[in-house]
Amino acid sequence: MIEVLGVKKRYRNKQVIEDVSFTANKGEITCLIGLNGTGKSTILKGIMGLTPFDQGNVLIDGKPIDLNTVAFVPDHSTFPIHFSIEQCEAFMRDFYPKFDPKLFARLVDEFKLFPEDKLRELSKGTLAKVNLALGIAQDPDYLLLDEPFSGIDVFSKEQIVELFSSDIMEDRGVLITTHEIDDIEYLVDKAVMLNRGRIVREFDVEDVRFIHGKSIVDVMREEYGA
Amino acid sequence: MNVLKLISWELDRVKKSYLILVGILLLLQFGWLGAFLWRQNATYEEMRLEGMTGYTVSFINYIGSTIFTLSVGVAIVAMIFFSVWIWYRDFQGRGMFMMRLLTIPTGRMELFVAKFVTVMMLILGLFAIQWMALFLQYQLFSAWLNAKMIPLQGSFERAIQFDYLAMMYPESGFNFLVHQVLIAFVVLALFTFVLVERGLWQRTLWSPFLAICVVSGLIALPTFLIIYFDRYLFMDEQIGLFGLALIGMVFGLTLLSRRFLSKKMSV
Amino acid sequence: MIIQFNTRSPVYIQVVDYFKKKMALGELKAGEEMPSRRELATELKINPNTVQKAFKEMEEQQLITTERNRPSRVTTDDHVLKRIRTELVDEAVAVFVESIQELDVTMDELVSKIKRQYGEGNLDDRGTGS
Repeated sequence: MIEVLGVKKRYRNKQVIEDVSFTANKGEITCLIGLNGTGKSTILKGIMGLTPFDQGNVLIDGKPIDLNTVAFVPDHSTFPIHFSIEQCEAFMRDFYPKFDPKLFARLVDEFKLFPEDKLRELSKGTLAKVNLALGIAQDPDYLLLDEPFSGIDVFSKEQIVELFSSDIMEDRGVLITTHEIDDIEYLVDKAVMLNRGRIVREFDVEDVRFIHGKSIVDVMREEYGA
Repeated sequence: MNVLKLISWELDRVKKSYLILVGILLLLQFGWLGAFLWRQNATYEEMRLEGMTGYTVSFINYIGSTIFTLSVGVAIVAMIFFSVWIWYRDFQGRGMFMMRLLTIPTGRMELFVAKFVTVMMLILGLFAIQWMALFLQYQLFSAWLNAKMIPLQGSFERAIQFDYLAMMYPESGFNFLVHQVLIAFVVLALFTFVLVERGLWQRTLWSPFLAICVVSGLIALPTFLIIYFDRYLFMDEQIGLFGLALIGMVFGLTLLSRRFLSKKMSV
Repeated sequence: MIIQFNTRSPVYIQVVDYFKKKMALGELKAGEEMPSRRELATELKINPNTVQKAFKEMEEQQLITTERNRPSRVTTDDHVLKRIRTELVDEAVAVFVESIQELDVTMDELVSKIKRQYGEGNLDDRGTGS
């Protein structure tokens, strides 16, 4: 379980994250929902230690983060654009002890990627798939995905969505940020809604459908008034 | 093991620029040597025609010349620049390779060590190349003068005692070691500057100045201490105090770097 | 296999309903093997945990039986299968009646309209189940 406990973050004069606590379970897909610029990415980066929180604490299975068990997939490539997919893989093999080349090969196959392609030649959707493949092949217990669906084509979206319901994701805890839920409405176990730097809702998606007859979008409409 | 892989990775990335730098240096030096000798030859001929004698040329004339000094200056500036760039490079662009580097599971200090060793290797490499180049230049120099029968003054050994070259051709292994430690210290200070600047709580336009203040403050304090106590101490004690202060500063800079790299760094 | 999901009711219940319908129509026969949970999740593009929940629900309603480490099978219990059919018909009728009542239609008018819309003849063969 990922536990985010009372974290706060300030940029310049703006309190981006007021006081955020939530949990994301292993074997479940948790979605961190918020409008653009509400600090979703900051929270993921904070969990990874890429942007330290001013206050608060993050525990993964009760302990401080171990980078062997958590992988982060940002919404852009972190490799230089002149790299080919193969070169990215070589780097990951060298420096990430748990990186699984077989799993990566399978993802390359499923996503129909060409290893010799250079990152700069790829469309946004293909790049998103490459990033995701590099993240999953780290064989992490927890996978943090920052806006994996934003601005990518329908077919890439479909391929990624299919991946989430396949055995590749089995037993992993997934934490996804998004500002539009449509694409993954049926994938999510749990929704955590962020507004003005605070968590305003945290609920089991099926429970809310069962008890209140509401979709995630309905709850979003209530919260964000969109 | 990871440190070695990271070092080879860093070396691989800088390979091309480094070769270009070496190329420029050698071109500058050998090109200038040619021009220099040609000019000496012309002057010598002229003087001989006018019946003047006693014209001699020394290797110091060559290595003391502006262009040779310039070439060494280029190398030094390039290395100072690289010590900072080796970090800043990874912060470039929206992609930020630094994000990737910081999530490598084996720890961030390995990254620090790898980058440090890389810079030191490049600097030592430049030393080695300069040694060989200078020796070769002297061979060419003396061969040419002999061929033209222009009297050569002084020896190679004397020439390389000249000024700053003493740094590259130290009198003893110990001196060499001391010089390298000082260079390493400068690199460490530059690294600390970058990491403090990148890890400051609020990153603004003032961050670089603040970072410079922090790093120079850390260096200045012990330096003033040494200057103050200098006149009360004997030579041996001075050296001892200097060594102590240096160890203290290295310790301080390393701790500061470590703290900023592992806890404060923000990408 | 495509299910048009409604975002406002629990997905697992929609999955259960989908299978009930198939059983009632005889597309899934008594004792037939169910698709694996994993396949189903991928095919429907939904969360595997949701499929798991749907299967659990179906087991509780005795629609399927699962033996250890074997694929689940449609129940061979005739009573259950018949019950499903009644349930589905009752549900559909309930929904229909509720909406038609709002329009204040007399029984005679309704019956005659149904007969016409349904297509003459068909009405006699069907609707006698349960």
